[in-house]
Amino acid sequence: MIKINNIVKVYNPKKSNEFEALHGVSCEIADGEMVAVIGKSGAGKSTLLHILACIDNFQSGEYYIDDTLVKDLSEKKYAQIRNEKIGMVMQDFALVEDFTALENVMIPLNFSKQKSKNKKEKALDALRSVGIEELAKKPCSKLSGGQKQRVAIARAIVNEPSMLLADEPTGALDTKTSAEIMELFKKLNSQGRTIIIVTHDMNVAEQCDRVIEISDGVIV
Amino acid sequence: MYYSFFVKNQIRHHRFLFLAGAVQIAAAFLLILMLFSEFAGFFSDSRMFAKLNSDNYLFVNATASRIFQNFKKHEIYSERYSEIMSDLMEKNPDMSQIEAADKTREQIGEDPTSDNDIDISVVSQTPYYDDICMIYFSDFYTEVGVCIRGLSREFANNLTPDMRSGKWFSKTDTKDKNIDIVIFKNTNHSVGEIIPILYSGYNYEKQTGEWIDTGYSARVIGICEYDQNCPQFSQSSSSFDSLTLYELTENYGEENICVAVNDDLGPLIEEYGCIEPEYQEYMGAIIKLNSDLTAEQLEEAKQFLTQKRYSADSMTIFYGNTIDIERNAASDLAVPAAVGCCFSILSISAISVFQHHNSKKKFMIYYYCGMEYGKEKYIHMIYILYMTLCGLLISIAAYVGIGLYGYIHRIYGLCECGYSIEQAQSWTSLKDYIYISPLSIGLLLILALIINIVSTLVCSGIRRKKS
Repeated sequence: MIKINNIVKVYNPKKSNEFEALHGVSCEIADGEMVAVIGKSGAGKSTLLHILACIDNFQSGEYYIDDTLVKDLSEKKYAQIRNEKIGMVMQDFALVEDFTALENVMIPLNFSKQKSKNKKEKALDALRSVGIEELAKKPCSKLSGGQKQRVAIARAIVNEPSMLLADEPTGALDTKTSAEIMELFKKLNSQGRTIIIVTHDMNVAEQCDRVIEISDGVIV
Repeated sequence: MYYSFFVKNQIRHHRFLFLAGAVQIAAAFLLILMLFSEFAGFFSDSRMFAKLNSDNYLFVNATASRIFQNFKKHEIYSERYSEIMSDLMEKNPDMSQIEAADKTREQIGEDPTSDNDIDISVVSQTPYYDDICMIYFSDFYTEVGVCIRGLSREFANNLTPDMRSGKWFSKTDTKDKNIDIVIFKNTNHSVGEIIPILYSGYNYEKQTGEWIDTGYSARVIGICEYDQNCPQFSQSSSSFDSLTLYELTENYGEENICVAVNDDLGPLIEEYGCIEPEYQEYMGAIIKLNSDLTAEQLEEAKQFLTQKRYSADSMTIFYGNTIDIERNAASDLAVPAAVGCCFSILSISAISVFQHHNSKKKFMIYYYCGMEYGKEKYIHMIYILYMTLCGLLISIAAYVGIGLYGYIHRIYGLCECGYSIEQAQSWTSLKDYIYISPLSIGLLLILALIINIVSTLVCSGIRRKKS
């Protein structure tokens, strides 16, 4: 379960260009839920996602993952949470272009504290589960947008995290491929994973269990 | 460690970039390696003469007036010799030239100068005189072109040259039928080798002007770290230095020199009579005075030699002059070396920054996937370390290649001059062309470490700024 309570995020604090992106945001997301976070550009939805993904900090408030307070932890602990509990899928896929699909999927396994005897097998399993096992040895630079997003999803799930965070996952894809990717998310959700999708596409939002709208840094 | 996965993949997917970086590092290292190899030769002269750096050692040389006086004496003797010999041959037409020469010498004695600008019988009368250090010429060779110089025991005991291998003469060396020799430069022999000694001079009894095997053998006990930078000799007695002594071993341009302790050459000298033990090189000699002399006593000794028309300078001046020459030569090279090092560090750091900049997106992805914040610098550092080590290997290979080319070029040159390939090989030591001193390697490794630290610091500084 994810719980955030009164989160405040300020960019460039105490500087002339200080900007408060989130003004005391609170919400709860239950295990296995599929939630869409929508809002206009600059509303604060990506900021919220980055805080949830432990790649950005916040000034005040509380953030719990499974009743564990995620604040003022060591860098090592944050890295462990990002590696074990969270899977990230980005609009631009965030793949190492010159690595093969398999190598990309193996990245999180190499940061994992848990000793995995056969990393390659695990990565192939993840690729199989997103339906692109045959592309394992192909460099990502030679894959289509849909294939790249599948590789990104495979990488996000390879460590079997409880939560998947997706930032505009269909933003760079055509309608057909977007539908395929959403089907994949639904499939992963049906397997018990919590999925949070940041989007401004209402078609995507409608396919989720719940929609959270952010406007000017607050949940509407 | 997870670093190897990322570093190996980075190298595998950007082979050309990696190789280009390694080649640039290799070029910088090669330049530094060559400069360091030059440096390694410096200060070996002063180290060699360190034990002679004392006021009770005097460098003695004939002054111009003594040389002139000897020349006049020699001229007078020659005139008298010719007169008597001509007279003898006129009166006895059947007498051979050799017989006449012997009879002449019986009448007027030996030439009082006999090329000896330093007369040991005079020098040894110097107040507080203890011993003399000298280099003796000989007509003995270990092979064609490799001559053996004799050193007085006192001189051998006081020289402390850097050794490439083996050891210098020691007082406790056990003597057998082989004569111990130390190779100064440019021979193809190794430590422990037994080499026949040849004779190349002219001897009345042996009736030969050809190369003959003396039946004696030499054993190589050491090979000196020869200073390739040995410059030209200055004959000025007021500015003497180690070059003076190098000149004594040079044999006028001959490149191959071995040294032996003169006492060990005794049986050979007795048999062939080619050099007398008291025959000293006219360029000068070092005399040892008793230790713990007062300034007045030292002055007294110098005054005696001055009266006999010798210049006499303390070996401390000799040592100081040597150090000055070495320091000047080193500082001449130090500036380009320092500039080269700084340039290398900066250029390699620039490669590092460029590579880091290229990898920024990659590191961001690693961060999403669970890498600790700041750990990318270790991935980068290992990557640059691999590149540096690769550069180091390339530079050593290139250095060896250049040396090998020089060696082959030299052999080829000698063959073109009409020598056989065996002769050319025996005169040319491969070690002289491809030798890399451990000091050079050590300094390069330190430099590689600095490069790694600098590049990592530069990159982590950029990361902090960007974050």
